[in-house]
Amino acid sequence: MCMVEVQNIKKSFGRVLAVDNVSFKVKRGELLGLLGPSGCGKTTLLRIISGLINPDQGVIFMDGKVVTALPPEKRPTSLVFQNYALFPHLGVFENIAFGLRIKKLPMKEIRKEVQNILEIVGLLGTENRSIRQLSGGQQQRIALARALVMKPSVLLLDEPLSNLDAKLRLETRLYIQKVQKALGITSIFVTHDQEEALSISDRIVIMNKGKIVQIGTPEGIYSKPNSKFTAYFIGKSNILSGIIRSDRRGNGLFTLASGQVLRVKSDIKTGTKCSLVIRPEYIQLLDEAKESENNNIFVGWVEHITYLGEVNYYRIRLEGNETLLVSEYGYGVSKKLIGEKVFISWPISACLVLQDH
Amino acid sequence: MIFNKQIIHKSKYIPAILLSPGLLILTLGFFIPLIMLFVISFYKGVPGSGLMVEEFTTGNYLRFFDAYYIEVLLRTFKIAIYTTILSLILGYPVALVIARSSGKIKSILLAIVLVPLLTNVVARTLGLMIILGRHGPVNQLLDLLGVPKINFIPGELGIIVGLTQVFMPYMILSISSVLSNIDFSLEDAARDLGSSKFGAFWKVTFPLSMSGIVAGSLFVFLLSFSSYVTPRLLGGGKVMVITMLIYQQAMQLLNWPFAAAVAVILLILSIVLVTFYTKATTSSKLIDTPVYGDFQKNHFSFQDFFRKINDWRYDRVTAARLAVDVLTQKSALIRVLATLGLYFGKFFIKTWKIFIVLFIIVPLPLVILSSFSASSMITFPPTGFSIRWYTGIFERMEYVRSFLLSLRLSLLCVLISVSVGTLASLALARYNFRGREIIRSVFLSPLMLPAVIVGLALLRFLASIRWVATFQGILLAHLILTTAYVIRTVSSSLVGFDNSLEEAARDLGASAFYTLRKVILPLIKPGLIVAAIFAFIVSFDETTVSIFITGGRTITLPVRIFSQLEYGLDPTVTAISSLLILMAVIALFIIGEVFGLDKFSIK
Repeated sequence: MCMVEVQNIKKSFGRVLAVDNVSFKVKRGELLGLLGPSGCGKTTLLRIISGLINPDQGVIFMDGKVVTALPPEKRPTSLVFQNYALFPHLGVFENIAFGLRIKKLPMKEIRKEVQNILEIVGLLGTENRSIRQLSGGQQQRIALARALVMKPSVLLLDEPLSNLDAKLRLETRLYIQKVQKALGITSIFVTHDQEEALSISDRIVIMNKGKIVQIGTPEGIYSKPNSKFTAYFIGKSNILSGIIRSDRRGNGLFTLASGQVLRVKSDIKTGTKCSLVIRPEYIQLLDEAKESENNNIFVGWVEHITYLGEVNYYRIRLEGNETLLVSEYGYGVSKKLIGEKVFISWPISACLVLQDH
Repeated sequence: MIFNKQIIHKSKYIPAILLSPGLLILTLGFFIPLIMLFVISFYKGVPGSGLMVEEFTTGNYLRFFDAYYIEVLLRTFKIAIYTTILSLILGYPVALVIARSSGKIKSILLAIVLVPLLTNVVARTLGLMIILGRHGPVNQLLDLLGVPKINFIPGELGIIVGLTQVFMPYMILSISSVLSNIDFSLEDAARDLGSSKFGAFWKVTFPLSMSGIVAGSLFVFLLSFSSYVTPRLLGGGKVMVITMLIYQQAMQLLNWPFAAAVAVILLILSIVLVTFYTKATTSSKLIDTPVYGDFQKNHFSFQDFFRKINDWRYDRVTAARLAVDVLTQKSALIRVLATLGLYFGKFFIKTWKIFIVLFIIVPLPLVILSSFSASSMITFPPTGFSIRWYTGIFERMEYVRSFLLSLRLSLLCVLISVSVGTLASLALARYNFRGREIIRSVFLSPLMLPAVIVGLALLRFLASIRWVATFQGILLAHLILTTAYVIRTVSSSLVGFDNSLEEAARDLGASAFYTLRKVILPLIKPGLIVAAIFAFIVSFDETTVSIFITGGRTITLPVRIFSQLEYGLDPTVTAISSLLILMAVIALFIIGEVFGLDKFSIK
């Protein structure tokens, strides 16, 4: 059963097409990540869903009803703003009670609701504080509380973590996820941070230049990117260009510009220009060549090493002048030296071939 | 596939609805009168009769090129230019001090500059009449020094000194607002690169403040060129300037078409100046952060000049030091004299800025001092102490009536213009529509045009609907001015307003009206309070426009004391003026409490 359905939404500002014919569905209780680089139209899309912006075209359904013509105050959505948008002239209590007062709830009930929600966000006892007395993380939670207290059918979050420092961002992320699951509230979470999206979302919608590029679970999107854009945007990728062929036995071969040939698995027609995606963690560094049926093996030289604590990244230059990024986990300080000759190997099944458009 | 069209909940008519009350007032009180003025300037007048023949002639304009009127124009120019130069020379150091000071000192200095601006111009001119008078403190000081007395008033010299005193605050505020945006570390960098303290100022800060100088100068020039009250009172009616010519032709010789033609000429001059002024103030942002190439181009010609001045200063300083060295060895007496000379020199260098600051403020305490004099002659220092001029106010019913009239007018102005102006400001700040910037400047234009023109235009219009010297006529006149002030103040407090707060309220279920009431208005409350104070003060103090359109039993308080002063000093006027000064101080105090003085500009 789907809670939100977005159909063929289009919106342009002047000559800029911000959202270009976008459609997707959000299931009840699901947390959907809306991910893309800045300027891709994801925030515009979120504001269209909230009713703050009118689309030029398209329909939005919520709980089976058309809401496209409804103003924001009539929609069953609550938005958590990027800068929180807490009212500076009101204290914590009044900020959270703002929407309840509009609903004309009796004071007793308002007090109860505010208490409840403050307990959920872990800020009981801050009712009488002014907004300025709160830290960034606390303000974030109050903003969330103000949205949740309205018991919206759909919670919309517009880059809610971008104003927090790295450590707090991680904590708050886990905590938002926990609250969302506990309340079972359908949510749409806009972010430009792929790690954030991967970790928190049930499903991810990837947008670029106003269009949806791919929709899928975090695992699906990471392991099976459908385009160079997704492969490049999500995680780290080696992307090589070349032409696909097949040998006599029907096995796929991928010829690089340098003339080197890789073995791949692919159904794409012979002679097509393609891109090859290999994640760095699939590539192994070897001291000596071990031929294997299921692996590609190449010779290369270590060009650069980045030490990141739990992982080392190597840039390996191949004979044909292409470079590959290779990651190695759990070894501490690198055993290899810059300029050292190495063998690299990766399973044929780890190569993903994408047709160029 | 279902496509539905543009949604209804954001109507295009909202800005039009918000703007319409303001535009209605402006049309009635400003546009129609100005158009009528323009039309009349081409009619044939019958001097002395107040009658007009409605046939097209350019005769009124041609007549202005008579030697006498050209002389009036040139005299006005001369007075305005001297005033501008004097304000710049005296105002710049004060602006520098204000920009570089902070905390309490800055607030005090700003208050000293701002109190006169909020004080009624008649009250301020009264202070100048006392200071510059034949037996005033300045002439007493000259007498003491054995220098012959100077006849400041009535005369051009008095007008120039007076206008400088009256308008210098605008110069100071223009320059100090630019100076406070200049990064002080630039001067430190210049010092670090080897410039002297003065050299760093002269090569870095001064050129960067040029936009403030240009804007301030144009503004002061425009104001002094088109002022009426101060030249009329300090010139004793004998020094004819262009505004007095307009008043005389319209009100005394009853030659409406010619008065209208002179007003149109003044109007065109003003529009030219305002255009330059707007250019100077809007381009100031570019000058604040100069691109290196531009900086070189603009200021290269100065460089040699600066170097020469620096060399010259260096030579002088060394020469002086040598001379002191030689002299101090010669005799003890000379040493004592030299020390004393240096001491006073230093004292003067340290304190001359204080003298300028005193010059700005001193007429006001002087008026207050004089108001407690026991004698019916206004002398300085005042003789004896009495409050009889204050109690005397209540014995003169015309003053009480005028006071009550002004009070009613001002309160009504606050009520109407704050609501009308706030609506218009919301439309201008929240909505994007065609012609928005034009409408904004249209609303502010009554402040930029000479009050004499507005007064004359309104007089003709009000006469045609028989509203001259009526309450509603004066109210209309004041409303076009106070609404402009409200729009400017409220707009500036809407500038920093975070749009997402409004969106958050809508998202939480608030209607547009609820959002306005519970979110927008509470957040711009300081702006509204200041706007209300401005509206009150502007209406209560308005003089020049009102001079044209009041009369009979409806004479506002400032006009009443102005006409009294036209015939000479009157101690009751000093008492009333003191109360007006007190009102300005209270207003400034409230503004300072609500807003903070340094965030505040009155231009």
